[in-house]
Amino acid sequence: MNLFIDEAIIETKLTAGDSTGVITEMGKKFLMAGLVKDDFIEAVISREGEYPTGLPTSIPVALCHTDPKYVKCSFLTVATLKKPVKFHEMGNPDKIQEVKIVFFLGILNKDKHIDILKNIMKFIQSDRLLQSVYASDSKIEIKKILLENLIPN
Amino acid sequence: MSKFRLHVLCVCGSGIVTSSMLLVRVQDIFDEEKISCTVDTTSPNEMESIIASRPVDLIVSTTPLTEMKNIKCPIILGHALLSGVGEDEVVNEIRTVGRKIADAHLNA
Repeated sequence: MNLFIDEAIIETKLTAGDSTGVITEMGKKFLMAGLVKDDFIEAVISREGEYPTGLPTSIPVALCHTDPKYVKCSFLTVATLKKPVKFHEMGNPDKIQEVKIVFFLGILNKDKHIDILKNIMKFIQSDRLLQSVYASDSKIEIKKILLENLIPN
Repeated sequence: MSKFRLHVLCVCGSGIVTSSMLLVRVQDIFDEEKISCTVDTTSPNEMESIIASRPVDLIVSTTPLTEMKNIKCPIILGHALLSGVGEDEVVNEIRTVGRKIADAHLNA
């Protein structure tokens, strides 16, 4: 499947003042792990500005991502936020969502990962799964939840 | 019997991530309706050249496209399919609009 899901790039109870802070903190991890190119952070921030990804799910989430040209290796991860952070809403950029869980999708090949994208959609519509991720302090446990629910077998 | 196919374009900022999520849902909706369709994904930047080069019957987008005036086909804002909030209305709209276009072709 070649999709990197690992506790090294999962964050729990992240403290950030705004969406740019969340993207920067997580982006640094992806850079350290060699998953993205140097301009990834800037590209995600600018894309979030132009095409926001906040969603009014039971626990509001954001689906941060950018053009594959900034990604070296496909990955998927989440950051749970200590305090909600404002993200503009997808499709309704004038609306603000108080986001508590941020997904980061580094997808190089959509055809290869179409099942995962489908499962992400199911995941964010499941209050039970969002609650279980948000309540967890364990990166290993969150990794397990992601693997069990997103990777088709 | 006419071999009508509904040509749907799913649009998002990157042309990949959320438009592919829409693609899966739109495909399911029209499969259920037994309307044969081809569904592709694109970004707003590439959308105009696609529309200029081949027929597009319906656009479903996760981002507002109101500033693009040369689009003749219906545009449905589909981000509710991702969040699940207000999903039923959007599914109904896609179904109804798709059905209308398909019927118009079959009766033409």
